[in-house]
This record gives sequence, C-alpha cells and structure tokens, in this order.
Amino acid sequence: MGHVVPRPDAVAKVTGAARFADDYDFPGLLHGRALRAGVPHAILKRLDVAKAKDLPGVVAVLTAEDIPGERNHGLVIHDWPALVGVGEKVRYVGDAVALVAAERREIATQALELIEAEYEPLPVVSDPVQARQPDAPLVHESGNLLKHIKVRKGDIEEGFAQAEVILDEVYHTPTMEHAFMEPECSIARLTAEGRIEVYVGSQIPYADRDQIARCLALPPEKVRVIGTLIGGGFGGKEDIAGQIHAALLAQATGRPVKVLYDRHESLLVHPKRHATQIRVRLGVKRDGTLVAAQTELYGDSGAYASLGEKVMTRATTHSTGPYIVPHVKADCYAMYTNNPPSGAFRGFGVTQSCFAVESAMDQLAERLGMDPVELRRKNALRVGSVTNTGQLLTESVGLLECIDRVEAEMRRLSGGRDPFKPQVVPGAPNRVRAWGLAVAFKNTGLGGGAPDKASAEVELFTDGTAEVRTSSAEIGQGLVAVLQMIAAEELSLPLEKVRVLLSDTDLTPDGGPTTASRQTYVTGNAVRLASDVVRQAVATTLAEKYDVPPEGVRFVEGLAQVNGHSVPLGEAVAMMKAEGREPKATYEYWAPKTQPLGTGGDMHFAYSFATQAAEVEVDLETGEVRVLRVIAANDVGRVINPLGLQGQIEGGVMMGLGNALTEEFIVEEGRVITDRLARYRMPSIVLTPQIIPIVVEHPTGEGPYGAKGIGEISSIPTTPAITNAVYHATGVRVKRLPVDQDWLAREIARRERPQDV
Amino acid sequence: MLKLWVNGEAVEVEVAPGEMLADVLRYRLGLTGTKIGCNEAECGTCTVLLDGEPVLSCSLPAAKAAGRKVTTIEGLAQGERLHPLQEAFVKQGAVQCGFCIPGQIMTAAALLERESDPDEEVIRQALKDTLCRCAGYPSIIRAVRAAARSLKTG
Repeated sequence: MGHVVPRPDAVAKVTGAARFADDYDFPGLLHGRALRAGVPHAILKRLDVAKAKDLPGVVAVLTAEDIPGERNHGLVIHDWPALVGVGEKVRYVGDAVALVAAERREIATQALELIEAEYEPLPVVSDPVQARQPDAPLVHESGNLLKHIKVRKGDIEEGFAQAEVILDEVYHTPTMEHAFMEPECSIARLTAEGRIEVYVGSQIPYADRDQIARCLALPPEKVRVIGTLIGGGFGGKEDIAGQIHAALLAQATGRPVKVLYDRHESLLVHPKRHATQIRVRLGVKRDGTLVAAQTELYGDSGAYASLGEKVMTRATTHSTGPYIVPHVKADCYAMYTNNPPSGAFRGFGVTQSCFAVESAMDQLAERLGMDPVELRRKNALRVGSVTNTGQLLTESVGLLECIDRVEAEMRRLSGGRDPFKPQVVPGAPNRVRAWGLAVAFKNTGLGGGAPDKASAEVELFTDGTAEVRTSSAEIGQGLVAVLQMIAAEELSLPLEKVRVLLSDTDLTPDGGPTTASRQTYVTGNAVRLASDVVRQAVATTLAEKYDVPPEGVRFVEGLAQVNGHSVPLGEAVAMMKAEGREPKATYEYWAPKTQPLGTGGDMHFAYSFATQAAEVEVDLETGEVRVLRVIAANDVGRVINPLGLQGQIEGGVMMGLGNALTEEFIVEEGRVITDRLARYRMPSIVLTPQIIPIVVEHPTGEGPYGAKGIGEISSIPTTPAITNAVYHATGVRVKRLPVDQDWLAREIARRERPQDV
Repeated sequence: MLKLWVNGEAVEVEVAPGEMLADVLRYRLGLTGTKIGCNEAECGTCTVLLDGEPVLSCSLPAAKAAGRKVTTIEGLAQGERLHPLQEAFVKQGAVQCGFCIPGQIMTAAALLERESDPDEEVIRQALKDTLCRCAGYPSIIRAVRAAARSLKTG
C-alpha cells in the first residue's frame, strides 16, 4: 500500500487496444437513433411515423405504445419516460418521442427527419425559484416540489440572538455539464438463449439491468449488462441514456442495435449539475466563534428526479461548511423545471454549497477584521465535534492539519508577504496577484440510512493467479489498480498475478453504484475480505495436509510456507480442487449503518476533508483571471495508490477551476443554448496551474487500511479558493459563477485600483 | 476506391462521398484506437498524423488522405515495444479514463518530431486543443517531457 503503481489498464489505453462501447461491432449491427422533442414543455398531439417506416434501410420505428413493460425509468423515482406517447407530456427538449433502427446511421438520421410530430406548447418553468411560486405551471401533476430538505440543530433564533455580527448573502451557481470525452453509447443484442445483452459504459450496471428489464417486461436475469471501458463519467453515466432504447430496438428487430449519441444529443439529454441559488446567513461572536448558520437553497432538478433529491440533500447538509455551529437551520427546495434533468456530478451538490459558504466565511472574516484562515481554524470540525446533522465525529477528521499545512505552504510561497494582499506584478502595473483559501468536507458513501454494500468475488487458479470480480465501474478514477493492489496485498501475490474483472451482471457480483466517492472504501473492503476468506481456505487445506494449525501457514510472494515447505500458490489451489474445495469466495460487505437525515446519529460513515489555496493573477484592464498555483491538501484517510491519487487531485483542481472561471451550460426558457462542445468552455492544458498536492492521512477505522474517498473532495474547495483570491486581488466579490471576465473588468473599473503594499 | 498508407501499410478501401477519415479508420478498417469525442473538430480526441502532421480525423474528408501516409495510435509502437510516449504516459499516471489519450499521444508525437526538447510552454501550446476531462494535464506535461528525454538518450 502507498507505493506508486502504474494502472494495469493503462497499457491498452495507450496502444489503442482499449475498447469502449462504440469500438464493438457485431454482424448485422443496426444503428438506432431517438427523435428528441426539441420543445421544453408541451403535449404531444400527433405522431406520424409512416414515412420513416417506408424509408429504404429502416428496419423498425418504435413509439411509446411499443414499449412492452413500464414506460418510465429512474434511479429513485420512476418518472422519466423512455418514450413520450401521444396525449402525454414532454417535459424537456431531450425527451424522446420515437426510435428508429436502420441499416446505416445516416439512414436512421434521415428517418428521424421524416417523422411528423405535433406539439401543443405549454408555459415553461425555467428556474427553481419560479417553479416554487404558487401560480407556476406544473411540470409534474404531483407538483413542482421534488423535495423540501430540512436540517435542524439547536434553536436558530436563540443562535442569532447570541450573534454579535450577522452576514447575509445570496450566491448563484449555473448548470454544469460533465463533458466526459466519450459520448454515451449502448449496444444491445439478443442471444441464442433469448436473453438480451447490453454493452455500455455505465456507472451502475445492475441499476441499468433492472431498468432495462422493467421497460422490456423481462425478469432481470433475462438481461445482461456488460460493462465496457468508460470514457469518463463524473456522475453523468449513472442514469439511463441509450440502454433502454437499444434494448427495445434489439427486441423489436432481432438484430444487434447500437445507439450512439453524438455530442449534441449528449449535451441535450443527460442530467447536469444542479444550478442553485443559495442564501447563507451566518451569526458569529466578535471573536469569530460561529453561533448560528441558516441557509436556504433552491436547486434546479430539471424535468425528472434522477438523483436530484439526494444531490440537494448533500448540498444542504454540507451548506454550513465543515464547521462547529451550535444552531443550524437549513432549508432546500429541490424543484422540477422544464430544463434538462439534473443529477449526479462529482461533488454531488457540495460543490455548489461549498462555494456559497466559503465565500461567506471570507466575507465574514473581513467584517470581523480577522484572518480568514484563523476564522476557519477556530470553527473547524475536529474529533469530538458534532456536525449540523447531529453526528458526533469520533475519528478521522484531518481538517485542521489540512488548514495548517496549506497555510504554511502558502505563506512560504508568498515569501513573507501577506498572501491575501494584492501584489502588483513587477513591470506589469495592470496585473495583480493574490491568494485565496477555502476548506471543504464531503461524505464517503451513500449515507442517510441507505444500505451501502458491495459484493466482490475472488478466485485463485492453479497457475498461481487470482481474479477479482465486482460490478463496480472504472470511470478513469483508478479502481482497477486499487482493487488489484488490495487483493495482491491480502493474498501476498505479486501485482501482475492479479486480474480484475469489472461490470458484468452475469460474471461479477454487485458492487453498487460508482458514486459518492465510495468504491475504494466499500468495494475495496469487499475485495479485502473476500481475499481473506480465500486465503484462509488455502491455509486450512495446507494445514490439514502438513498437520499444522492454519495459523502456521504463511504467505509470501506467491508462495505458501508451511512446516519448512514452500508451496507455490497454484499447487495449493490444485490440492484444494482435488479435495473438492472451491478456491474462491464471494464477500458481501456492508458498510457501517447510517441514519436518515433528521434522526440524528451518524448520517455518514466517513468524511474526507480538504483545504485549498489558489494564487490568481488578474488583469485589471481586461478582467482576465489566471490561476497560477493551487495548493491542495486532502485528508484521504490512507493513500492506497499515490499515482491514482495524483490523478484525482490534478483532475479535481482543474474541474474546480473550470467551475470557477469558464464553464456554464446555458439554458434559456428550457432551450439548450450550449448544444455544441464549442459552446462549453472547459479548461484546456493552457489554463493548468502549478498544482502542489499535500497528502494528509487521518485513517478511518473501518476503511480498507484506513482509506476514505478522494474522487470528489479533490475538486470541491477549488472554486471558492479561486474566487476568494479574485476578491483579495481586486476587491470584487464573486457571488455568481462562473467569473465573467467582462463583468469583472467593469466591477474593477467601478472601484479604486488596489494599492500595492 | 481510396488508396492510402495506414501505419506503413498500403490500404485500399471503399468510402462514401464526404466520409470522414475517422469513420473510415474506425468503422471500415477496424482501427478503433482513434476515438471520436465531439465530431465537430473541437476536442482533439480524434487526432491522427497525416504525413507526420496532426490532423483532426473527424473533420477531414477521407478523400484528402488519398496517396498519403496516415499514422494512428495503433501504428506507434514498434511491435511489442511501446513508443517512449506510450511508456511515459503509463509511468507518469497520465492515463485515466483513457479516451482522449490516443489524441494526446499522437499530438505529442508530432511535437517531438519537430522539437526534440520542448519546454513546458511549448508542450502546452502544442496540446492546447486536445482536451482531457480527467484533466491530468500536469501528468501529461510530465509524460511528454519524460518521453523527450528518453527519445534523446535512446
């Protein structure tokens, strides 16, 4: 553990041998496409597919009536129609109304153009605040409120009565796009046994299987989801994309069907990061002690539930920051609108609320005349603290160390100057530099009372190798390497002797969703414990043969040492098989039980903590912001693979940088303006700052070797660290993301130019 | 019939009018190492070399490659021996989801043909249109530098 290991899947990815879904081909493959409504809110009045059916090369055209099973899918609430039927409602531009399968993709595209669809437009709900107005049009008959989420601790009025300074601010964050490099692709085909196989790069293969089966009216075991490599997920490949459509078309035609999204369709259809409006009200004593925190959040969940309730719950419970606050009241309204659905996106709501509360903390520090680092340190969660949801933190709270080490590095790099004072760049009087800092926390695991378990199977072979199997997904984060390392460690095998097979609902047990920074912890533990069972079985076999107690068997580098003999593991496996013993084990690991929000107790079984400081350079004339350096400290419990950790930190910082400065998915009145990749400004290599990682290890007792999640926390504090730095450089407080350059230039012009010190 | 050289081999392939090089490589020749990320010449994922120069194969009509030499990611290794860029990308942890990597490596290969010892700024400029959403950009820069060193020392 903790040694740099190149990922085992990397070689295939550099030679071109790695296969993603669109790289698969089958004899007789058809190409499927969906007709998207293109209107945000309407009744589908008429649908005529006759001309499309007549087009030579078209093999099938399907509409809602052709769905044999349930019309709707959804990860939590089944409210998302696979196809909208005549007389039914379109709720966003990406709703599908018809499917085509054709011999060639161009024919399918042409057929879509021949389908006649008429809509009766309905008034559009375009933002979550509007959605909550009593006279707002209804997106769903049940109402526009997906969920009112509440966090209560202490007595908020009593808290504010004790406060000597009160800050009250409102922040806005935009819709964001995952922009994974690989557009969604699913291939479905019937097998000779009458089952359906779906090849897809999915973050939740078993949920895909069950949702496909429901729509096709098949028992789940008739469906096999075979995970391909995944060209980036970031939460955007948790919901159904083309899986059901491909399966419906394969079922109807009896031929394999590929449904590949082009970038336009990908942008239009899949769930986004929630746009939010977040009000933060903080009450504090003159000495900086927080006494009250009240937040009000509006989250744009778009047309369908997806994971909206869960995302906004996480946004809400994290909305008062990783701080000790005795009196808390947080209310969140997760609202349906006619925008593309919002769902999981790295950070899972915490990205948004961290920007709000960490901006507010900096503003509060200034109001108090206090150092912003000191204000955070004073209130930071530590072992023995109680969170705003009533959870007593008993271990693994590395926040103070993160703060201390980032501050020390920032001050060292500032060379004795105040890092939060603007410094004019020598020779360039238009350009100023300053640092900003922010902290964050993020749960590992599903939490909130949801059963959180993962199963893994480990099998040994007579050639001395082992195979690990679980349905958990490799989305780029490095899970294959982590699971390989864990199995190798437990079985005392060289790394290259361990293979990892992921994401096949026939061959791999359910590892649960690849979400919530949970796989290293949950599936990691399942692999650790399954390996342990297998190892003990080997030890028992050898112990009987050599007449020693099982504890007398030692495992070293692929050999079992017993009674002076060195038995290669493969031979021991052969002995087991000869005795009719299975050299494999499946372990279903249950993570520690958590409690639902509102009931007190442990809402999550672990939290990761982070602090980041960003140094920016702002051009006072043009408003251009460049991030020069980012110091990122993450308490990950225990490092398993430093190379994987490095990737998560670098990528996380860059995604947070895009969130701060460039990215915005624009939707106007339900119509997607950002409908091409060129219109979505994600950071390229030229914007990459120097990233200085600091690893903090406060192990969590139940995590594998002490590890907890890293995938999200690495990205969360970057944005407010940058916007706080922009404030220190220019005096302009960013309350709406992303930082628009022209806006910033105008705001700077309205203020006096900051003086060098 | 389109005639061109792909990874050192003479190839004859039927193409439809207006068909793009990426589609020919992937769907007609089975060279699926070249990926299509956006199909609108925006992300750089589909980069291949045409007579040694990086081109966006998703938007290059295949007919323009007639009689010319195309190099894809599959043509970079010498048999079992990885190209120094491939090796460095693996070692430096520059590979995450892997989807953009063929485009990154091909773009970097063209750079290293031009410049044997590019500094960080030159690398950034060369790779500025090749997006990586896992955003392992610092590792990519390290990998290109390491490959340059390894090419020099042999």
